[in-house]
Amino acid sequence: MKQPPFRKLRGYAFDPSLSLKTETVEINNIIYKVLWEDNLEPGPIGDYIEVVDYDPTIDVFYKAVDLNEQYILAQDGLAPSESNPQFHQQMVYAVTMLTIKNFEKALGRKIIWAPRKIADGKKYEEYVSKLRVYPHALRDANAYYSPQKKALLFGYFSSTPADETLNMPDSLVFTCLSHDIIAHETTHAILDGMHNQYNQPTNQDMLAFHEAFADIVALFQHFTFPEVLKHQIAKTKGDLNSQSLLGQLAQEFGSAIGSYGSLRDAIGEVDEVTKIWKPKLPNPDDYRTITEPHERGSILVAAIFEAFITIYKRRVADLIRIASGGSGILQEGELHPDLVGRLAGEAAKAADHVLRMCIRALDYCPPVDLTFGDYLRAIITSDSDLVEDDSRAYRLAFIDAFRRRGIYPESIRTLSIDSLRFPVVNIGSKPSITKPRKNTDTQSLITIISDFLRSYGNKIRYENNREEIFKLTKLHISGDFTNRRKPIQGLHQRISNKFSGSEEFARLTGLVFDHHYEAFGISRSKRFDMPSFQIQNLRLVSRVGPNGNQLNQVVFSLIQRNGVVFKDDKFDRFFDLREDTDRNDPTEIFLEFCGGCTLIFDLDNSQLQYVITKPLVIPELQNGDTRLVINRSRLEKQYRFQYQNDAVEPNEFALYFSNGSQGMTEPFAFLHQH
Amino acid sequence: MAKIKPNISALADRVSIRMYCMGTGDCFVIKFLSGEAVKYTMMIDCGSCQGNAGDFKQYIDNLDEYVHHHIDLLVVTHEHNDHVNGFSKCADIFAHKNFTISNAWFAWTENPTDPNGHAKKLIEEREKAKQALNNVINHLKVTENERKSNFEDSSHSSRLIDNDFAFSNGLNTLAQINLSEDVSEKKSLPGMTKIKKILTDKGTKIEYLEPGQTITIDQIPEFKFHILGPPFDRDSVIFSKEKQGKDVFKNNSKLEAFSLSTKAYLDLADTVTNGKDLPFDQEHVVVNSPNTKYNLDPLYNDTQAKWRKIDYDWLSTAGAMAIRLNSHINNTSLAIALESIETNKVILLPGDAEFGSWMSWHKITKWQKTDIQKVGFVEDLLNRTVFYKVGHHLSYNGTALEQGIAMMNSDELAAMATLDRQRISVKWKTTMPNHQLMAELIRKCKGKLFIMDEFEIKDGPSKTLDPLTLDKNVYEEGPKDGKLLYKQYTVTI
Repeated sequence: MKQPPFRKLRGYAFDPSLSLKTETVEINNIIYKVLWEDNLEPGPIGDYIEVVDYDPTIDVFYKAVDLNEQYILAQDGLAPSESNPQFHQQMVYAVTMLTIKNFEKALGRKIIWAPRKIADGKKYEEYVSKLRVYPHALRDANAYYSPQKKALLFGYFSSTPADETLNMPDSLVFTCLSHDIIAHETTHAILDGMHNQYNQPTNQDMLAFHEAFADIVALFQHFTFPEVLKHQIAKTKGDLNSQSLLGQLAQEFGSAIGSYGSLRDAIGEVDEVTKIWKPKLPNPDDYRTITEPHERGSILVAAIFEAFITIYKRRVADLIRIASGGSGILQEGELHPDLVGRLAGEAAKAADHVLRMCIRALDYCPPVDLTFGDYLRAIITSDSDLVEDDSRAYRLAFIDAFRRRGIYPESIRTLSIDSLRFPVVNIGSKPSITKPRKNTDTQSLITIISDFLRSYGNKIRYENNREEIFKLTKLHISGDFTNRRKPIQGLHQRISNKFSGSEEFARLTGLVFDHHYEAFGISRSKRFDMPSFQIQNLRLVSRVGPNGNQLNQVVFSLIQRNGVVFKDDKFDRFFDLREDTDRNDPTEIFLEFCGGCTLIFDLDNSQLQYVITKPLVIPELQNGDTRLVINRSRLEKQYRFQYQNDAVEPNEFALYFSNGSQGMTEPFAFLHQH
Repeated sequence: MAKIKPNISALADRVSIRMYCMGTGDCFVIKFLSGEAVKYTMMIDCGSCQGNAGDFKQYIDNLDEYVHHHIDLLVVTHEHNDHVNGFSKCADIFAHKNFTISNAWFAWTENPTDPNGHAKKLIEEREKAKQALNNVINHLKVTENERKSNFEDSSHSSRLIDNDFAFSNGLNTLAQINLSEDVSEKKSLPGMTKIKKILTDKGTKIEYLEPGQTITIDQIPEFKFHILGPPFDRDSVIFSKEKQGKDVFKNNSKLEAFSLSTKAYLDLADTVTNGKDLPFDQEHVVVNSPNTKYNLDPLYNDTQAKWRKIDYDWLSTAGAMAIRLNSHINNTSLAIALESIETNKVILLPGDAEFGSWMSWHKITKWQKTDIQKVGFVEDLLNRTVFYKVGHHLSYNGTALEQGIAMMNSDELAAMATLDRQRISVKWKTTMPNHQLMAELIRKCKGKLFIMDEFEIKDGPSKTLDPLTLDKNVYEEGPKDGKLLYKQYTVTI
């Protein structure tokens, strides 16, 4: 017999507190449809995650749930219960897996966890097959993703609630029972696997982005549950000011368990006098003036949410017209259940689209120093590539929502779809008709690289085993020199060889590829007399658009770093990060500076399609010659952010217990502190 | 009670405030002067973050001589080492039979016989938290090697060790202020215990004060002492300074919210294992069944996967608890506004009161704004403040902004801050000084912000100050040659 597509597991749609209110109890208990894993073991331990229920605070193990047990299988998992740790294990498993699946659907490939960096010089990093999940790891109103342990740690605490009618005083609250918290932390882990530089706070947006993105995923995942939407839409009884309804709903989703809703404060607030919820008007100064990571993140959440509302409104305009006889004002009284069903369906669909757009954009983001503006450009570009005809004006909805909050990408003159879209470079075997390139050398070199990437794409396309995908990818990056007679050249070496000294490639990528690297303080490559750089996140992007068009791309990122010394707030010199440097002069500040670019190759045309870069070096005209110089404006910005007055520690906790934001090994543990 | 017979006719025309430069921490002598005569001598606190009896002695000797072995009124603001450890380290000077102290003031939170029992409950909570913190610090010491070995095979093990150290260091820093040096000392700090004993032995009149009280003193009837804090409302003492719902869990602003972790920390020192408080029924726990499929012990304790273990991560909650404990005690500071009846000038002495306490001053019932008043009484006091003892060594949490510094509008405003970055532990430096606050104070005081030592302070106030505005009658540092013992500022009333 065929294996079932899903494993059905009961769980909370929100968190346990909503099961205590009569108006929400019926929507709070839902059935999660989780990908069927054949070899699921007690824990649960599956292909992607292993739930280990060890409670270090009292040094005990709780019995692991076996979801394959007959009785459990027969009744869609254990019944939701706060007092049964085995249900807790089931709940974290269900939500984590759902979140993973949402990412895989949007990205069109398997999720790989961030590899573990190990001290073994030869191996450098190690594959991590399963994210570990500890449902009862802390006695604290905190939960976080640990990049060091590749683990999610959830806390529990005793609450002293504001509303004692809802929670008993001193009753236990488990963060591992909240859909939002689980989805949020899982997203941190997935994002770390895709862009592991994003937890380095090099600008004001980085930590805010991690937070906001995690919240966006948790939020829109809710909206894809049609049962929940239906119930809420039916409740409005004709007064369908749908915008505020969905906004309020979004906020309530997060507020039940404390600060996880805080990012959504920017969506709206309850008027103190009238006690009626109203959406908050965006302020174009917000992006400039708000710096605390959570508050800043809330700007992004609010922008994406507004885009969603605009899209939803457009999608239901015709339904409302039909139902209201053209007046646009619905009759009082209960809505027709069919209308409720259709409206909820449209909302769920819009949410799903927005969620996918947000996730797909990650492939079009620079690997370092991301800003909200870059993210907007990534959303627009990735969507334009896949959906040629934007008949429902999704992109405009995004641009408008970002504009209203003052989020503008740098070096863009106008805010239109065309100018926001990353410029297409199209270097490769088929020269672009519109922009003939001068340098045919680069063109042919790119063609060689893109042929190599095509063979990688073909090998990886049908590989379903995540570990094999990891290994194959690593092989294609680093090559294999174990067989001396038949060494296999990897992408790293190919780029080193092909583009050594290429000024055009340096200009394209904003990185250093010639022999002057030492002058910039860039370390020497361990193998060749070449500047060191890192290849990150090589992946095949294979997606089908709504019109049946197929997208075939290979994407990877290059990262290069150097050390910079500032003395008395001024640039002083470069230094090599790998070398021991005397750091005793208190007037000197040692900074790690990172440049990077994401290269997107179109496999069908063997072309380099986009270069999305945060340059380390930029060309400058000196005495009639162009020379590469360090990217001062970005460097100085980073210095100002990290070491001068606009430096912000995430919070009070970090002030006392961290070594400053640069050396932080557990950024999320700190970020979620209070 | 008084040594000198009050002479009502000769009103005090000056108040001189001497800050002893003993290291980051408070030790003040305030003299009320009428011409050459000293009408009244007041002392506030005696402590420093760092230093031992030998380091303190020269300052306290100078103090002893300066006050002629007599204090009319001793104010002990709150139980932090940087405010009280001098009392125990130099106990012999204070306990000496020739040294007399007529009156002493403490906050109501120190009153063991507080009629409504609030003080007792707060003290109990504090003591539990202190014990828990002590246990965590010890546990971290004992397990240091094991933690390090868990980092071994990581490519940035040294960074992990640094981070681990930063955490222990942060805890130790907070402990330095909040806990006794002697771990076996489980109750109050020795400085606090000692001074209370000395006062009892001397027969000093001790008073525990409450917000809203206004006190006049026979010898200086031209002044009123308004008691602003600590707040009476428990919730303000254990106040969270963050915006609710913004970056804090609503539930977690209070010390008692740590009850669950505190319980586990208290159990750390216990060898009893069966007394642990399980969050679930015992039936869910794996016991003595090493090889069943429900037991993931072998997976967790796999020697190859040591790097994934979470044996110590939960101790980080003690950090948040320590911060909360520290704030909690700061907010029990006895905060006083000293007002001249003649000229309405105000000297503000808030101890280390944090935001929660500042906010509560404005809410004191009997000082609420009436319909005919433009501003509330406390706001008015702040408007008229000419001298401000900066709260909590210029850190971000010792001075309220909108409800505090923004209301201090007097042209005469001057301030003193007890910060010395040579004598402070590294971790405190991250919060002291807060540059925005310092810049604002410099602006408001036109440079008359006197910091104990401007070492390592960029753009310090002395750069802005015009020395011609300060003659010796106003400002003095002493002695001029050799080690600086004190800085003194005189307010003309």
